[in-house]
Amino acid sequence: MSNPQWVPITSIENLPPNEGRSLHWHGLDIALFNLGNRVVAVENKCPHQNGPLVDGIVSTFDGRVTVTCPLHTRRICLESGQTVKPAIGGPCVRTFPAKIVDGIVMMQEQRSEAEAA
Amino acid sequence: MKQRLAVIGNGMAGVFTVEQILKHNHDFEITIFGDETHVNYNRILLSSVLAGEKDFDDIVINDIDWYRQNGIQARLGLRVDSIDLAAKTIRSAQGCTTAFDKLLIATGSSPFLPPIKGIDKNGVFVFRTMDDAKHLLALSGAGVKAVVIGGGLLGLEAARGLQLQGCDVTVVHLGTHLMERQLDFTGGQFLKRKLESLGIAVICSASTTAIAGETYAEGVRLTDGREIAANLVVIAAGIKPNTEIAKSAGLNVNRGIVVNEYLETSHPDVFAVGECTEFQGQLYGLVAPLYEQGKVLAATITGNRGPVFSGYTPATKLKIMGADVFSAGDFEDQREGVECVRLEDPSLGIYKKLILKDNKLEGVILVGDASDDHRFMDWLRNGVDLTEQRRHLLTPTAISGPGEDVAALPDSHTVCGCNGVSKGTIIEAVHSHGVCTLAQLKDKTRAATGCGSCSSLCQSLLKAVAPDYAEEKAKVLCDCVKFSQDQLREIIHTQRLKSVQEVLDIYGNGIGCEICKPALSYLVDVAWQGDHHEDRSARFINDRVHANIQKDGTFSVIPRMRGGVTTPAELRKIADVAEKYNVPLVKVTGSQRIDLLGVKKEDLPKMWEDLGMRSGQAYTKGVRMVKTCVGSTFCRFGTQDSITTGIELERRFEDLFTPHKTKMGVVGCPRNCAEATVKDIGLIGQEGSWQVVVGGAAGKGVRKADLLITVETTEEALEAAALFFQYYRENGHYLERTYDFVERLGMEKVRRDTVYATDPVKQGLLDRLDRSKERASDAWLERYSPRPFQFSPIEINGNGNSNGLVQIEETKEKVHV
Repeated sequence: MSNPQWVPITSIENLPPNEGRSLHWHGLDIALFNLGNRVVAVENKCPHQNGPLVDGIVSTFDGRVTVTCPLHTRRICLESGQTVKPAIGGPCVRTFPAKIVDGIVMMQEQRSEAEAA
Repeated sequence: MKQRLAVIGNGMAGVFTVEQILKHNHDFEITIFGDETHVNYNRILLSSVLAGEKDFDDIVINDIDWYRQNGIQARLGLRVDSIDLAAKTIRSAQGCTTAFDKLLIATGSSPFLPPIKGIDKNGVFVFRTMDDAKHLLALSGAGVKAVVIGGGLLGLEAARGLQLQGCDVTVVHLGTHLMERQLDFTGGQFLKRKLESLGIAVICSASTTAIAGETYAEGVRLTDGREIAANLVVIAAGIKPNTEIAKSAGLNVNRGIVVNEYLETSHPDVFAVGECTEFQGQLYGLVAPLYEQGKVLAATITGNRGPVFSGYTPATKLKIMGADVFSAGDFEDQREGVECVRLEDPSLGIYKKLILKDNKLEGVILVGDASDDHRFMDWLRNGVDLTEQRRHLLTPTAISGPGEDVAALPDSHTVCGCNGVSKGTIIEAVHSHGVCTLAQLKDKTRAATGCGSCSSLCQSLLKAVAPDYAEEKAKVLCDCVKFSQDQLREIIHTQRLKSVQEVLDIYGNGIGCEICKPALSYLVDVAWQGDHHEDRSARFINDRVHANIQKDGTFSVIPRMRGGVTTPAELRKIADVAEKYNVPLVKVTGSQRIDLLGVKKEDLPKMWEDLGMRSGQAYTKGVRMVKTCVGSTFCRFGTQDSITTGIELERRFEDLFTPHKTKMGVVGCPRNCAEATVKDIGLIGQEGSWQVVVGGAAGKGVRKADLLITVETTEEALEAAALFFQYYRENGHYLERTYDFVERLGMEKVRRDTVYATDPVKQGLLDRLDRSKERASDAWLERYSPRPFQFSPIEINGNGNSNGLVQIEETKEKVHV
């Protein structure tokens, strides 16, 4: 299979800085975060009790940028998707490649859950 | 028989000398006379007490048990007024006579009182003793106009302390620039601008002729005819050594009691130490040289005569947050053969000046940034040849790892200037006594127990050397912003920081987390009474969408229902909304209101519109509700109109944020049907009066509220509640409920600072509450001007296509083609 294509999602202006916004795409619930000079995308579901990560506060842990789940303050690394607090090396959420090109947020084409299955 | 040693003076120098004597093998029966009634305390830290950073108890050096355990007789509150050298006795003003074999004079100094007319008026103070500090604390407060006469070290610290207590402060200084003994003209100007930016007015080249007013001070009159209004005047125009008793006893006295390098006076059995002494024509007023004297004297007096006092390089540090000043050595640059290296940055307010001679440091001035003072002090004290450092004298070479800067210091480097503790001594304490906390270090070496400015250096050293280093749990907000909430309040206020991001960028790690960001959001809101930059990314989700997030990611909606009073029309609307949006659960809450649970985020603005009611703030750290009983409106036992009063109370405070949620209750009689005694603020009606109670709880713990005051009228009751409410808003730590708040402060203090405060203080609280209230509004009005994309997910139409065209359904979103 050829490399997945980069697809435009929305203007970066539609993502408020340091806040998340959710995106329903190909049957996936994704949380997109505008971190100023870059965007990151993770599955919008805390591995602990499915909390909406998109509603979390952008935080930091040991030098990594994280998001804190609003339900029980689990901190999830926005780069690796791994839970780092309460303990480093906790369960992971899926991460998705995302970038900003000329002010447009781009993500890589995903096969939907259904197709994947 | 034991020798009798009498010590006149219970201050820092005298008692330090006694401590040193106790370390020697001595044979003294020691009696200490002190004219203050207090045990030995740290006078340098009185400015911290005035600034509210420390309590009186915190600055005690030796408590009464220390005197007892060491067999020292403490004669406190006795002023010695004569010495009979022939009979070898001293006599106190109260008439008792004490014989001595050896006498130690440590009488210190007194404030110099310039010839100002009316200086004896009420409201004019000096700032020297614990009692002075107590008087100033009692009289200072918001709205009080204070003038400090004298812009030296002590005057400026007093000015800052008074300002932190809420006073409007003006410093009137005789010299052409501030701290002229420690700073050159430019340094003085930089400091003046710093202080002005902190809100302290400074007038230089100004001589005071008179204190205006009848019996109470009303103002300060200057020679040029100007008059500055003041209800509080502090004289800090310098000090003069207390030498009268030494002089009349016939000892050799110039400006101070003359001592030689062994601290001996002109009489073989009489010694002197501290600010009252003069050595080689020089007076000393800072603690480090005086402690040095104490060590020498202890050796001399115990028969170990040998160590000598050889003068001292003076070094001064001004302890005002945001206006750092450090000065040491001789900064005069017009001398033969000296070079001057300077840095001036007006925007940052940083001024640094080094005086070099033959490539060695002779003097240094730092204003605005004194963080690397120890480097310069090391160069100065040890006469380091700076040839190799010439290229980066003012900018230290970058530190590549934590601890490397302290590792680079030589063992001989003096870490604590006040107590003369070297790096070597600290390392020794770690290795041979297992010291691993700052408290243990203080106990073992006395480092950091003087002015305290070396605490962070001591911490870094411990961190680098002590294997079991344990950082003391300073109550910092969190790891992102390592300051206490009280410090942050001050920082936000004095540095005029109006957004969370500014605080994080300057004082934190630039990113923050879910602990500090909501706390900082609250602090900037209260500090600026709503006139701040609101950053929603720093707020918890509840405060972004004004609803309470539930375990499944849905939200709950509780409209405001003041006093728990509703109407059939309102109920009908609630019922319609619940049906229209398929609300899964409708519940009456414990707060006498109705909760609609399980609402989708996207539906929130439309629901608020359909309800047409105000937000009940049930999701935030803010004003929740006022629970009321029926009261005199219908109840046959009711003595007061609890419903009207409760509705008014809720109306006055609603829409405001508080450190934690604030629940209130108003009851019309002591039967207490609406449980006002377990609310954060409660009004309890009784025949002809109201009891206002605060700090009640019925949560994890149950706590009966404390009585704040009993008043006659409803308006007085509402005002008392407002005073406490605003006081809690301004002084409570974020996430501290009122019941913890009143326990932390004590009800006595709470009463003194609110209902029993002076009128200007009370008015200040009420004015700031009004200002906040004017700027606050019903959060649910954001349905008309939602922040972009607050409630909705990103919507894209299709998957995007190859030419990069994005079609976006939502009209509000900008479309890029």
